Amino acid sequence: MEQLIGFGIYLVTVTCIFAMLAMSLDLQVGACGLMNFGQVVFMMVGAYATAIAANAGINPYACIVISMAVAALLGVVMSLTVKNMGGTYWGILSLSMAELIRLVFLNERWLADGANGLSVLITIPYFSLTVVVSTLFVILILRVIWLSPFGRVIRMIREGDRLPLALGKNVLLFKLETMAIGGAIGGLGGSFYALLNSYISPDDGLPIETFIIWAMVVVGGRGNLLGVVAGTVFIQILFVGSRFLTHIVDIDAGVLAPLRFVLIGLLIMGVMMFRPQGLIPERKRVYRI
Amino acid sequence: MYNGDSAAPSPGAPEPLLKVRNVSKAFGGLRALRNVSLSAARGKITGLIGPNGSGKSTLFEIIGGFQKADQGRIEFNNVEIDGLPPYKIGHLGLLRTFQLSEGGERMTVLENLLAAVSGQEEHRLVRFMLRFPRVMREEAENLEKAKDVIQLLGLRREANEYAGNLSGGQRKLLDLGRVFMSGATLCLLDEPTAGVNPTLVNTILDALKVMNLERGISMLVVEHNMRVVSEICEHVYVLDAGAVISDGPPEAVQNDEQVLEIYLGQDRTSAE
Amino acid sequence: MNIVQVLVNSLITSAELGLIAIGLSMTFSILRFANFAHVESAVLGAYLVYLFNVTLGWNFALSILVSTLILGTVGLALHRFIFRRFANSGDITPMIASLGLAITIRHGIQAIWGPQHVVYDYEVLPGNKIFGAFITDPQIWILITAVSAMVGFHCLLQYTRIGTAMRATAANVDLAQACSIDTQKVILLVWFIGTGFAALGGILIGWDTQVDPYLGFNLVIPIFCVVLIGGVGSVYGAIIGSLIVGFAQNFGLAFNYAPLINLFGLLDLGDRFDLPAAYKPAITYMAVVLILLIRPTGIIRKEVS
Repeated sequence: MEQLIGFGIYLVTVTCIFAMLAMSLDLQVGACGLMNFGQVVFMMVGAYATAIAANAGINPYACIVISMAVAALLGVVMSLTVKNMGGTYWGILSLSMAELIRLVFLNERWLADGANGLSVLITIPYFSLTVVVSTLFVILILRVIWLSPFGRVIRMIREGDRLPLALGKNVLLFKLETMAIGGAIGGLGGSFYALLNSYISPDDGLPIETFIIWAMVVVGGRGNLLGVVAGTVFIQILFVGSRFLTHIVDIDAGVLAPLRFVLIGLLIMGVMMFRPQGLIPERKRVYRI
Repeated sequence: MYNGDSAAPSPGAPEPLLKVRNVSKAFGGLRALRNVSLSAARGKITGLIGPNGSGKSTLFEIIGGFQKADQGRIEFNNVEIDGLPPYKIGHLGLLRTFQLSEGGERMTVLENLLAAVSGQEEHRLVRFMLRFPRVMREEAENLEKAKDVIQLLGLRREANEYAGNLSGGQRKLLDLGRVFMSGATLCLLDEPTAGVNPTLVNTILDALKVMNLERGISMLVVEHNMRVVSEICEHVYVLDAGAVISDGPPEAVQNDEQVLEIYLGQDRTSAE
Repeated sequence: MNIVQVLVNSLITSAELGLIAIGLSMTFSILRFANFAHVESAVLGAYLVYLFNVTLGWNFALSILVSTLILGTVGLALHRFIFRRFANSGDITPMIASLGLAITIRHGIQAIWGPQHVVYDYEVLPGNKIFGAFITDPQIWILITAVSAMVGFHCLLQYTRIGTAMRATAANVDLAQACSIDTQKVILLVWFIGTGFAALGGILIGWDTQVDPYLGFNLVIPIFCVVLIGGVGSVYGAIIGSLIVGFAQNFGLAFNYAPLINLFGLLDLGDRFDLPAAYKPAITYMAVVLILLIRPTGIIRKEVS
């Protein structure tokens, strides 16, 4: 029983972390139209920052803040490459940048012990509770951003640069801020990820992770926080649930692992074909006239 | 024969709001604009006509900062604006609309109007969050203003409709609505009545007059419909093959032989 | 390393990349979305050859032919059942759908054939020594196959009506439609040839080295790099782009960076500095980043009408 509760708590924590990553991606994609195919890099860099800082003996809470700052800075750097690039092109560029950063972590042993990865030996009290509260806080912040004048402008940018530019909006600055906020939230998720698993390696930053986060966002519903959280929970259940399938059906674990991803892929495809706006679509904000 | 910009400031006359001086632009070998000079008077509606491909849209792109002129100077409100990025020009109070009313499709009409308000400094996110009560108050004020604009434009039923679902004419009205909200002093209107049905044309004309007479917004209007031009414009420039070939009051320009030749030669229907 | 060896390796890489990139470049231009699943058809084609050649014991050449044709048909099916419905839904929706498809194919392959790499069944002979470089028989065959496929495609493009229609459509689909070209027919042909060629490229990679389920991922960025250098929609641009990427990948590793590292004599950090082999993919990633930064819409920009 105790084991089951422990597993349940772990599950909730992981889901919350991924919800943060998905909501961060949704801010970029769903609100601002920035097709970030390198989302996982925020998590990886955030996790590495925590690991490196922790190994240097820095206070755990300071580690979390450092992770957010580093990832936000990375978001700013990435946003400098957006310019007026079309969504597809920046998608390819962000994927390349993420892979470049992962290659550096993989090959530079002096930086973070290369492929071996780093152990994270610190922890914080009430860790799971902290993660859950942080997630709720992120939801609140993102909701306020969505409803604020800032959110309105980035939703206008989503449809194209020209109109907001003509209206006197500094589009690049808005994109930069969006990426900085997205990065900070992603870095927070990454920091928690490192603390949860007590370990981080370049394999945690594989592009497939980005696509799983994408699946959460597009299946749940771009531009709707409830949808994104629901999508995260849905994909997590799918992942964890299918793990128990080996007990029920006679299926080899080596076959089941890739089959889970096949399911994710089919899900993304199916949603795009039959319900491209996602299961819980973006809601129109209606004012009383 | 055309001999220069007759609206150029003579001593004693008020300074024009917008001055375009000797602007040229070439795309590869194609010379889209050749030494174009024109000015838009403060508080007046100035027309810009010419056949398709004569360089009107290119000129708007350049004035708005979306493209760079090869040479020439542009002054708005005594500030040199050529070379400035588009958002800075917009911020100075020069607002352009687009021929196809692009942008803001997945926002409602009201949200579009609210987004057009300038001077909110919404990008200073931290400060914005700290001043939440003030932001809320401003929002409420802007919302009231937006409702007035919607009433004026007759878009009441569409207020909560996505802009992408509006008809072409309604989107043109929304363009004007953004101008109202933005507090611009000069707007460049790119074909405000193109592809709009006749009843809506009258609504648009009324809105233009309100904008000009009551709010004092000056305008530079690209338009094909000569009825519209002669009804609202005080001064008209004719552009052909990238050069200004004539200018003057609409009646005079309409009877200019060279202008008649261009229009009758190529585009009889739109000149009527 | 021997310069001739590097040259030949570069040519082979270029041939493989070129075959795969042609289809992506054309669909990118005509259907206006980036098909992330395109490279997976290369992997699938390579695995089908493994199925026919090793598992079923067919003749190698026959396996290649059948596999290429099957993948061409798969391309048609993908268009008919998946991508056709995205004609009016912008560029983002089909792109995300293609990501889903890529994940499905990649892990489907892994579920069927396992995560290990596979090799084809052919006799491995010691290489021929040409100008001091070792070149194996398969490598010669790879070059012959790739070049003849491209020459055949070139003839189709230049000397047939449908080929002219294809070039026109790839360059500007609206203009082609206005010139009453049957773009639907062209699109089907593009899917068939594009996917078939991708399969052939994947097979050649498998023949040259080995295939594993992750091959597709390692190819995505290099192939997009090729397409971006060559210009979206340009077949010949894709071939030129593949030569550039192929040579950059191989020469990038063979190059001595010592002058650069020493800032041309300002520092003295040793007179030999090679790029570690692990950074080979980084060359193309870096290239993609730079290309897009310099020319945000790809190297060859569409003419402004």
